[in-house]
Amino acid sequence: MELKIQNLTKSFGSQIALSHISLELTAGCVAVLGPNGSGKTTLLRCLATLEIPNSGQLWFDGYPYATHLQLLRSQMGYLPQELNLPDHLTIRRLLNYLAILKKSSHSEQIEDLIYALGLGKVANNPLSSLSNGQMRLLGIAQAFLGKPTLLLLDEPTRGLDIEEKQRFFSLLRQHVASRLVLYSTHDPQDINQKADRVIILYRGQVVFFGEVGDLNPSDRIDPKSHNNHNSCNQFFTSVIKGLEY
Amino acid sequence: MDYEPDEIIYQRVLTGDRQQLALLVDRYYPLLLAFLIRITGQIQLSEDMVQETFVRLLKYKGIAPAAFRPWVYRIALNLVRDYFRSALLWREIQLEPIKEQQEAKWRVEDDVENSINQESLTRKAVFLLQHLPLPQREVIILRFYHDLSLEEIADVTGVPLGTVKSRLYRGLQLARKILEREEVKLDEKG
Amino acid sequence: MKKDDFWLLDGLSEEQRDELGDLNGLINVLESYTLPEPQRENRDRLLDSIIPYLPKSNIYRQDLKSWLRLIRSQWVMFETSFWVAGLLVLLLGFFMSFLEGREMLPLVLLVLSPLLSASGVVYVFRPETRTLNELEILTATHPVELLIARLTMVLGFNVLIAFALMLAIHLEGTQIMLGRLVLAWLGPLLTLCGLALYITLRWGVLVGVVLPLGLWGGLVMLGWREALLRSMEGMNPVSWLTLMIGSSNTVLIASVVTCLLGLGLLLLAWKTVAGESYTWNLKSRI
Repeated sequence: MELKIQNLTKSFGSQIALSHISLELTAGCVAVLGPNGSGKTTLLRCLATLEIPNSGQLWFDGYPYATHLQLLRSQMGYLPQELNLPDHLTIRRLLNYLAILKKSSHSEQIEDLIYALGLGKVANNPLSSLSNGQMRLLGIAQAFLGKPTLLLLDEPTRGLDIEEKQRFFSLLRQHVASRLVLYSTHDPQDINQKADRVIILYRGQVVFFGEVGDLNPSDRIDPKSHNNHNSCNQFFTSVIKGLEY
Repeated sequence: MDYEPDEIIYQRVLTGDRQQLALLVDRYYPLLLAFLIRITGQIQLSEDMVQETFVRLLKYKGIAPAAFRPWVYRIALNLVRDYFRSALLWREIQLEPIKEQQEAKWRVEDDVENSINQESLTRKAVFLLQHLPLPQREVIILRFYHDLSLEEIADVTGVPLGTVKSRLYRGLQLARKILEREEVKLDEKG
Repeated sequence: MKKDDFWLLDGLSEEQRDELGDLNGLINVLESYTLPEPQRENRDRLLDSIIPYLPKSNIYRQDLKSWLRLIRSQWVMFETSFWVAGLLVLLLGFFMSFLEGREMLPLVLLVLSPLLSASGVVYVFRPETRTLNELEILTATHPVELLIARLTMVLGFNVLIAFALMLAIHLEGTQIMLGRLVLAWLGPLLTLCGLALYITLRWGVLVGVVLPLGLWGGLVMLGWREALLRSMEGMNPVSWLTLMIGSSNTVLIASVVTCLLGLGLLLLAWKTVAGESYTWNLKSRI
């Protein structure tokens, strides 16, 4: 299983979001890190076929994106950065609906996902009544539906409390075998949970791609740090400075 | 090299991918052929049924079940059942349990006998299987030679799990009796 | 791998296992029944024989049961309030014809049907479904299949309403040829639906709502204005309109043309959806 990205470039008007990105990723879990505006969402959306790049080529499992769009879409799971869903739906109805579209007969999987993510009590409530964390977990559940081979999760831990984060990473650990998972985050603490590789984006370019262990330990964020925002900025500053040298 | 799940391979086959079809054939042709030969005892018939199984897979337009493997066996088994339902052999093989046959003889279907190694054990195995009622034969072959779980066998055969267990038990019981009876006869002859 | 009786008997009760006893002899016999690997040429022959059955495309590759399942699944897109609003509009139409007389019924059908259809089409693409649309794209269901399912639901609902109205018209004994009436409502319905769908797909929901419904509103007003002018000549406007629908060849020709136009617009929308899926080409500038 291999995702191959060659010279990917995407711009919105004069704003360059991604610049000449080339990567080869095999099965496993890859964290995509970067400060806001670094191109994480754009990269994931391009891989999810929701944005058309300006140039470059993409292949998954040897299938070019350009000629096997429908096939590749049927093998993906995607969590958008923003979830804007009809309020009148319930968790169960939405998941059942998407399972039908995915031509998946995994009705048991729906229940497993609901309970693994702790959504059992609210599964029949309208989406308008869910908290931000619960909506995010719903988004994660639908991404895992149908057991896709390529999972693209845009900031899955955003808005999740500690317990909800643990549920997510536990689900990830169960499902990562024989799959490629890319999840973006701007919180360096998240990479310690499961990722075996890290991509760091900065201003639309890949400034680091490698094993988690290759990151300088001094660059790692202090989990006890209370001022997370500053810690994140410090982290990126130090990593980028380190890489520049 | 990663082993792609059958379900993914099948999905790709449905988009017209020849390479993936070849991969699917490589995976399932030997398995299905062996399954069908052991059940029917006929090689050419089994080859025809394997082909028909793949054709049905390619023509299928519904939603593929979550588990591909039991589904493929189910398609093949349905072909076997259709065959036996219409064949004259049906009565002889299915409705006369071996215990009612006073003079059981080692009977081996000709083309299997000509094609496989003729160790006496193998002949006994072929004889045993051909003299089990079809429902029990199905379960024993799927369990013993194809390592399917009892739940998967229930899925393949379309009967409840309890029935599968009962068929497994009675099939093994009958098989052991056939074996013992024939070994006693051989001892007496010797 | 040598099998043992423990594995073989897994799932049976203790009592059954005891009764079966030692099965090693049986296992030895069964294990001896090995079969050679199939020959390469047989495998190649099999592959050659099944290649003609390889699907060329998996779009629209569903049996009727799957299609019905997909169409039924579209129910989740529509809130109860949507159906209630549609029925209320219909009841309003009935009420008006009750007040104004039975001749009003055909006009109610003509004016409301296209309106409800176009509204239904645009409703499905409302902004709050945007993320859901993205999630729908990333499934095994082709966007064209989804489009067909949605249109079937929206048009199906409207056709049912229209037939209910036509039944009422027929039972009321209104003097109008039903065949001409069918064409007169079907043409605008298909055109407005096709227009709303195509515009929504290309330029978004706002334009998709305003343009077709504005156009329709304008046409209805023009028609009513013409009818009012006739009333100055002593003819009841409603009667005049009913007469036009039932006997005017101009109206008949216009109905047929709008039917064809509507089908053309729906086909264009279809191609747009299919095209967007398959023209996602990456241009390498290397």
